[in-house]
Amino acid sequence: MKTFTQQFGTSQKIIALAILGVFGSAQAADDMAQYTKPDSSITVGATAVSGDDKDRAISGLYNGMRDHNGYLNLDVDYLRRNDATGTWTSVKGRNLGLDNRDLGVAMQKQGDWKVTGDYSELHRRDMRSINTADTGVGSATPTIVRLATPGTGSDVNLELKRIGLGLGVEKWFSPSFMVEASFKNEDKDGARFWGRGYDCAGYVCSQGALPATSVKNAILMMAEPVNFNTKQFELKLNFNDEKLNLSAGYYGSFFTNGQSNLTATVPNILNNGLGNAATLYGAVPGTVIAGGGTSLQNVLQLPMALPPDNQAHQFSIAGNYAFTPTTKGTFKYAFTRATQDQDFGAMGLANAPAGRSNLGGQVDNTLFQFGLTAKPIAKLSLLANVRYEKKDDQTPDAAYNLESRTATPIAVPQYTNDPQNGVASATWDNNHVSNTKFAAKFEASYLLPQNVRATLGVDHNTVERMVPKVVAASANEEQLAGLGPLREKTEETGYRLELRRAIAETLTGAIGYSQSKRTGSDWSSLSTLDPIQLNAVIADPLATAAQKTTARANLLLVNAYCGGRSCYGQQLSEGAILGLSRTTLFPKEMTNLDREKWKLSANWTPLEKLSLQFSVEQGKDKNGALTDAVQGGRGYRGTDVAFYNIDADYAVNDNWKVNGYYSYGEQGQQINHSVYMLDLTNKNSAFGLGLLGKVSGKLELGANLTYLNDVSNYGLSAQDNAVVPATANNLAQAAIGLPDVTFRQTTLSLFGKYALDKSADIRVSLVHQRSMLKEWSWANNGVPFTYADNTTVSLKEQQNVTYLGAAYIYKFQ
Amino acid sequence: MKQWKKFIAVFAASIGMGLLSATPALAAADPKPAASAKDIVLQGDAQCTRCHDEADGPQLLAIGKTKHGTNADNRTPSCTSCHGESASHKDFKGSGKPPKPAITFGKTTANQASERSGACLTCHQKDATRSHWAGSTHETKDVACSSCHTVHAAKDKARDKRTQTEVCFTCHKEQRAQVNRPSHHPIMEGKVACSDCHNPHGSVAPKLMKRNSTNETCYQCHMEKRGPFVHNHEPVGEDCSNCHNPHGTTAEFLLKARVPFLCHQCHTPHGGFIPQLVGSQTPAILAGQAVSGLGKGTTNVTQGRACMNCHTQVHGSNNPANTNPTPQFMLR
Repeated sequence: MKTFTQQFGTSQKIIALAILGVFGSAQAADDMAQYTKPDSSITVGATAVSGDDKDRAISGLYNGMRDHNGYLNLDVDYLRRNDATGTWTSVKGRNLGLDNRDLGVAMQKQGDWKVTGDYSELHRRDMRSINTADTGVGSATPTIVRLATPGTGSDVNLELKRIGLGLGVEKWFSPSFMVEASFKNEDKDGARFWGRGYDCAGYVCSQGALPATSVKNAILMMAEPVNFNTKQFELKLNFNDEKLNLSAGYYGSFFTNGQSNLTATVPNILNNGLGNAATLYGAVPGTVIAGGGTSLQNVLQLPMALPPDNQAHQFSIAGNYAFTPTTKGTFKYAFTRATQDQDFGAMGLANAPAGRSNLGGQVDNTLFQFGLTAKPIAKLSLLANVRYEKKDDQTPDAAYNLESRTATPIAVPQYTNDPQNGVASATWDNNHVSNTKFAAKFEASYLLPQNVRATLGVDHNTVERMVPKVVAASANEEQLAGLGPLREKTEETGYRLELRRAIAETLTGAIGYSQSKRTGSDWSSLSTLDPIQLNAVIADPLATAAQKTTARANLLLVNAYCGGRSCYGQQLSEGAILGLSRTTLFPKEMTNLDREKWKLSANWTPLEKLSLQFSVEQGKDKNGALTDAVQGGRGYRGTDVAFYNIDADYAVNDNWKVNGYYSYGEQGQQINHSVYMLDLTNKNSAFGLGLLGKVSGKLELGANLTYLNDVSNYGLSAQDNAVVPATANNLAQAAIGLPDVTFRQTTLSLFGKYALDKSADIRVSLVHQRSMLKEWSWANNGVPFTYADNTTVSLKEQQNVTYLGAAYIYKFQ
Repeated sequence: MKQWKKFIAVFAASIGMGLLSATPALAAADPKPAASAKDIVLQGDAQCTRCHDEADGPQLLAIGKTKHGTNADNRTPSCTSCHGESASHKDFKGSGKPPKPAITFGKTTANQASERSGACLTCHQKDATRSHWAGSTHETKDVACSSCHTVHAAKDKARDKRTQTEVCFTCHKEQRAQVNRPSHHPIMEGKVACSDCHNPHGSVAPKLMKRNSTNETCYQCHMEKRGPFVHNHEPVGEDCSNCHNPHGTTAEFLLKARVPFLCHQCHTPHGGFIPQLVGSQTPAILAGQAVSGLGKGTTNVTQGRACMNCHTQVHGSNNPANTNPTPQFMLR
């Protein structure tokens, strides 16, 4: 076959030489240029799109073709090389007729200098439409207006627009030293979905003299105004010689926000629990909390902080060193200082602690990495790598939380700093957490017969983080809530084995197994049980008998597990934590974990024209923390994943090729709440079929069909145990459960390209897409989820859209 | 610290040496033999192109359209720079199939990945973005440069945002299925490429993230999440991927699971209720709901933005206010 080809080639060359004799060398050079000189092209065309913007909500999320029915298509690809000097000039424009356009310009003299510039736009059009009577949506001062009837307001579609401009320069000063610098500016404007809500706490707002139908809690749709600017500047000095590559650099990144807070105007009448207009709860009086509380209307009108300006400076040095031809080291050191010091007053955010006009936030991050690879003998490869990263949050502490004391001792605010009981007001600090991460790995691989490589790897990871420690009476350390205990240190050690055959005529592949176990230190208790406060309740003549009974029971727990001292911040074992509360939840990112995973992949070429790819993965993570015998474990319980895939490529002949794939993935997560257990299963099937061929020397055709079916099943069951039997209502509600969430999408793409002549093609393409997203976040059974002002959110469940495009392609060199 | 000082000293000395010898790079490069009259594309390619010409393999000549084909740059290779001298292949006189060149890069290659990549790294290891190739996941998994890059083509799919995913998905099948989910980065739209976040040539971060960590990579485009804030949400600062799957999800905001179920993996719930939806509540529960509002439970924590209906500032709040309710719980 090969010999024949070569002979054919030779004969063709003879013919070519004969032709040369007729047309001369200039023509020959032109002919050869088509194979060896850079190509350029300009594509001009138009695309027509069916339906309206609701039919295109899913496909038009980013593609720049949601709002209108017709678009200009313009692509430019200009590439020119000056063969005498080796200087390249390129202009690359993509989607220039759309609002997700890219334009890049570059000039370079290879090995000497390079200059680049690029411009990019991206519009993100939120898939969902908001129906509301609110005004100023997307501004920093929206006004909430209650709609009389849901669905009768105006539709608002939120949009974000990014415009980026980049510049880059490279210069080689010698074969061993070069400098590169880049700058990128990006503006991001528009609005994105947000929200606001509050449920009156007893020390903030209350019914008072209002009727029982008045509103205790309300959630509102808000759109976050986005007026961001980011700037990134990077400079690298790169040196290399035969053994050493060294790069020193600076990377600065700067964020500024044109908006500082969102303050809404909220009416005093919104929906109550029955969906009827009613007055919002008023502020609790000074007899409940010192100074009085805040009405629900005013809570909802308090400023919401928008992201503050911040900046980071990073200095780094990195590279590698060849100790010997087969022993190499890699290294990196980086120091980053991130700061945030935007003035609170200028942000319109009042009531900062005395003496603090800004956070004075400073986070120093130090990274060190060192790796070594070696081949002590030809068949044996060794690898060792360590990575150390320390995040040191040096933000100063200040008393950001100054809660008034309740006038009624029993009804303390939702959160107080217990050790300061008896002080005029409860205070505690801002929250900031430093952490240290360390990762090490060792790997040895040996080349066995038949080109099979056996690899054994060991990985070790630790994370150490600041957690609340025992709070001294004078300390203001921020207290945390809504969590189980926290863990100061987690450690994970695992091993992996793999057999891989990367080189073979027909069958290559790999099989691997990995297992790891995460454990850690004792747990930092966040229980607020405090003997001082409990004894105060027991001694309080105003406390009820039930309150005193509970306090006495809790006092026993404090004595049994916390040494008779305040439990908050104490380092306790899992058993003690569960002893304090048998329903305690150990957070997913800190809890003990047992992980296991299998992986198998194969590439098989049974025929010269046919190649197949197979892969199978199965894995499991299991929460290994101690559980209460009756209540079971709470929170995250485990995950299991499986993934199967087959790909096939078949060359029908020299002109036609077919390819296809099918993949199926399944992921389960088990989560246990106080009264329910969720068994979430996500099943994802993906299928693709492609055809590409040449009908003749001038006509090329292609077709692609893709199908995706993604189904999330929410298996709910009511918690039932000897301590807290499931209620009839909960059992009934669990039986109703939650419907599946399904996303299904089928896309058929067809194209044809016809060569008009050597320098021009016509391309026609047709894309038909059918998408179905059935989910219940915003409506269920035809009943919309309504905000307190009757704002609703919707998305057309079934969307069909067709794109028909034609383009003229002019090619030149 | 000593290591750091040593690096500085070596680097400063290196810069000094580099600047002292600063002359145009091309002039400093080793001169190559003058192009033979029979060469077609690369200098010295005649020994190969006498057989592998435009009739035999026009696609091979496409290397002339690329940076490798810039003959004015004396650093550019000849065929044998990558394929080896291949004497047995060149000098084959028989009638059968000639032996393969010393180094080949196709699917049926007999060369180890290190040999194949070595052919490229001879020149390309000088690039700072490849400083951590040795020991990287791809290197140790026998992925060679040619596994992803096509040298004999005018356009290398791996280097074009619109086609790069085709290359990556050759191995990363699970991500191929994920990028088409309704919540996704504009990857298939050609606006974000795998290499915007990952450095396939090796990095110091997990998962070959482009910058020093996952978060630092995300902050390139989502810098407003960096803070630091008055009230921080620690898992956010620790690793964005604690909650997000950047390759695509059915849950909104690229969340790994739908809220509230995501939040309930770490947080204690507000009370004893079964997640429920408007239009699907049992009559008894409906009747028992407070007329004053649904509060923190039932549909308010299940629908809309669920927990985030009230806890809107999940990435952190810079609100210093001490007015009840204080912003500590990410309410404002």
